[in-house]
Amino acid sequence: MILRTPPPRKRRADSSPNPDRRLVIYEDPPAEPEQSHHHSEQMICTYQCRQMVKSEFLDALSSAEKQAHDSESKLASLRDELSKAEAERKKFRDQCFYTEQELAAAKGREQALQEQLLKEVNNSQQRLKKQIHSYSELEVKLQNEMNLRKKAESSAASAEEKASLLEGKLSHVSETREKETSRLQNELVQLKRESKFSVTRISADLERMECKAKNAEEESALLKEQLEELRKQLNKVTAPILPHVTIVFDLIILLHQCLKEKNEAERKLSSFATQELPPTETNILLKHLQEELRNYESEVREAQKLKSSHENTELLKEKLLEEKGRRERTESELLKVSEIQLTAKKLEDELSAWKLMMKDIPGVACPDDIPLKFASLQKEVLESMLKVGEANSRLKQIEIALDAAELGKRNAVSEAALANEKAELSKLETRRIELMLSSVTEERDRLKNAVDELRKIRNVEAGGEIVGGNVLQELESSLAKKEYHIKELESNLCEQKEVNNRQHSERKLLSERLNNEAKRIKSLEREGDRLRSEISLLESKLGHGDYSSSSTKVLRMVNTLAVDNEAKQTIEALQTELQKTREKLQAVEELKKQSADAGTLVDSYISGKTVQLKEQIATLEKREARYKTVFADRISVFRRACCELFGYKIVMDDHQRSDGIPVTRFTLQSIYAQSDDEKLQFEYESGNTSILANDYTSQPEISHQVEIFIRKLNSIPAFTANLTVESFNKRTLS
Amino acid sequence: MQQKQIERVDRVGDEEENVVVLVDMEELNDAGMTGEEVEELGLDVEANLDFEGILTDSCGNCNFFSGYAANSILYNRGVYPEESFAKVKKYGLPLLLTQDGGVKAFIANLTAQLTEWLESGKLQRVVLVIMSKATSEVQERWNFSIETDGEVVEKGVSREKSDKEIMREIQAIMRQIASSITYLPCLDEPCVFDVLAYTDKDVAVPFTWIESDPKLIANPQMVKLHSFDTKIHKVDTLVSYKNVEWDEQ
Repeated sequence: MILRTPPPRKRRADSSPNPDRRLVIYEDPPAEPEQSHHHSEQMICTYQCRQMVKSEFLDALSSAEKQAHDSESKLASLRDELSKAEAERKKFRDQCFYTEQELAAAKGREQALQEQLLKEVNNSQQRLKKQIHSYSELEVKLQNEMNLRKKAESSAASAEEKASLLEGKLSHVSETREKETSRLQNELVQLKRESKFSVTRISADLERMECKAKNAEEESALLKEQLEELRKQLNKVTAPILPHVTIVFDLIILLHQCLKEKNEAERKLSSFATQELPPTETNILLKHLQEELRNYESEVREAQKLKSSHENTELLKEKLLEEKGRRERTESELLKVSEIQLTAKKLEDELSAWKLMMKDIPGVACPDDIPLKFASLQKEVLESMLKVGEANSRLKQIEIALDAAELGKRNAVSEAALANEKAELSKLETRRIELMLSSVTEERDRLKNAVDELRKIRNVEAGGEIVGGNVLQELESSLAKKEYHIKELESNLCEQKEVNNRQHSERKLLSERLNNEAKRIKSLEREGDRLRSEISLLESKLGHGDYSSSSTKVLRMVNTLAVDNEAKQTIEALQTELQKTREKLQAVEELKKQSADAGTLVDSYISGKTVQLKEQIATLEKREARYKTVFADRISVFRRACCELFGYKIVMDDHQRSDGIPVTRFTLQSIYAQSDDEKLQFEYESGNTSILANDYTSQPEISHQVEIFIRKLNSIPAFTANLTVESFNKRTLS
Repeated sequence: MQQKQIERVDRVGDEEENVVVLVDMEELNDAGMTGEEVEELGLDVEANLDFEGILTDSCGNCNFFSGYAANSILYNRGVYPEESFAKVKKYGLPLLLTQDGGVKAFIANLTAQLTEWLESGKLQRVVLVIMSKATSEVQERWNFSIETDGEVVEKGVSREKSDKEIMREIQAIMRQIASSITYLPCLDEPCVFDVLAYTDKDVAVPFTWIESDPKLIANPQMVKLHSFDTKIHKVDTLVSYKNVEWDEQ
């Protein structure tokens, strides 16, 4: 508040022009009663002073105006700065929004990338799992197939052994059969001898009976004679001779006895012969008897045969049952054989399919390569897992970057808030400064008005000098105050600027430190994640059983328990089979002992079977030989025809490459070749034919043709045809 | 020092030797065994009689541990029926040893060869693999990684560690093996086992051994067990098993 009538001030001694252009108020000395007397004089002398004062005031005014102008300019500059700060704030805000948008977009992209990565990782993991699963299944199948093949081979070997054993048994049985036949022959001879002996005995009995018959006949004849004599005597001696009756009765009894004996003899004779033959026909009788003997013998034999056949039929029935059982077993085994053949075919087909698959699998040439391939695939899987781990680490890095970006965003937001606060503060200050400026301008206006009034007053009355002096004093004081205020404002501005600069520099330092620390934290977190991933990978490798094939190898014992168990099982199986065959042999031997016919039947059956099999083998061998000859003929015809038609002698060989792959090599020699060295060699492997380099093809003409026809045009027939034409031309020209 | 004199029959190749061993009773008691128990067990459990030799021989520790650990695994996982195992006391714990002649002979031959490799420092890992009998699919892998101090093997530098400490560490692992049945999946089908040895590349392969594939499990679950250290050999144990799908739901 500027006083209109400031109190009078004393004149200062050093009122010389002030460097800072301050208003020095000239004070009149204290008024004395005599001053009025000098008033007019003072009025006169102070006019100049007043003029001086006025000039000085005007100067001060102008200086104040300049200052006000400066302050205005400073205000304007501050306003500019404010506007710049606002513009910067807006820029920051826009940048913040932009960064936020970018962050959001980056987040969205990263999320999308993450999702994509995750999807891809999941897909690849699933694929890998499927592949590994399929590989493990294939491995299991391969192993099963290998085991089946081994089992089939072992069963084939065992069947071969059985066949050999059976052949041995056959030979043994045939030997026994022969022995039996010899024994039976011996028995036959013995029986014949016995029959001869019996025949002789019977003949001897016959003779005895004949003698008895003769004797009986003689006796009967004698008795007849005696009877006739007695009858004659009876007739002669009619006289009853009682004592002779008893003799007669005795004779009659004797006759009866003789008759009985005669009848018995006749019966015996009739039993031995059908009719009484005269002694001259004894030989015929003998023959008849012998014939009868033979008939009896034959009958006996037939009876024996019948008996034996009856026994044999029973045996045969048993054997039939056995044979039926065997037949059923053989049929089942045949079925099994057929099944085994089918399975073998299937195995072969599967093997071929596996081989084809192996061909499809790149880098696999033989079954042994498959585990290597699996190992390589597993390594690839591990590498992919490593890559997945790396991708995860990158993801984490990106997350870290995201976090850092968020931190930066937060920092930027906080800085923007700070800047906003500062801007508001600066706004407040500018408003305050504006207010002060406005007050200053108001004061200036007032001062101007006061000056105008002063001028008016000066022009109007001189008496107003006191008032003008007071007004001047007031103006001076107000000016001083304004100056003081302006100085304060300026000092405040400077302080604020300094403070702002310090804060700005501190903020910068802090933000730099923050950034460095954030970077360090990020790097440490990255290292930590990397180490953790490495540790987890190593642990997974450890647990997984992975190893470096360059420094480590995996060994296991050969005679594992499974193998031992299998060997034991096979041994037990073989032992049971041995026992069974032994029992069978014993049964066969017993059967043979019981009857020769049964043995002959079995022998004949076995021999028949062996004969059939041998015949089959012979026919098959013959067929094979025939096929071979036919094929050889046909192939030679084909070769000759090819030579005649295409002009090249073709020789086919089978070779094996260094990597073990079997290939077919064709050597072509043109019929128009001028030397034996002019040969072309081609290699054929699974549908692909390739030319091999040799001395002939390394010649410039031939190599040129190879380049054009084979390398560029990929046509071997064109090459060979061209070569044929050229060699033909050379031949004809030469 | 109270000592007990025990006679035993040592088998060296095809020959048998009668050996008299002096055993420290304090150490026996520390191991949880009495002299009577040692005598009762007799000659079959020769490892218990060779107490001193085991504790002073790191290779023996590792090998006998692996042999006993193998028996413990076979029993706990039910690879062989329970009735084919007999109880013995070892490392202060009641452990079960198979009485099947074939398995016994197999493990004995195995440990003999592993001892040789351990002594020469060529053995890197021993893996006990449990496979399905029908499909030969690997169900579990018990991995014993061995770290050998090369200085001891090459220069013969001696390293000492308290036997009690070693025993405690072995006890911890054996207890963990026994408790593994709580989290390992059940082996429902008949299984067989095999042992793989990871050796240095330059090791001569004996005629009873062949090179093999590592018999890995695809996507395994792994559980790390305690390790034990004799200052010469450090054995880390880890079991990996087939990932059962229903466990992840």
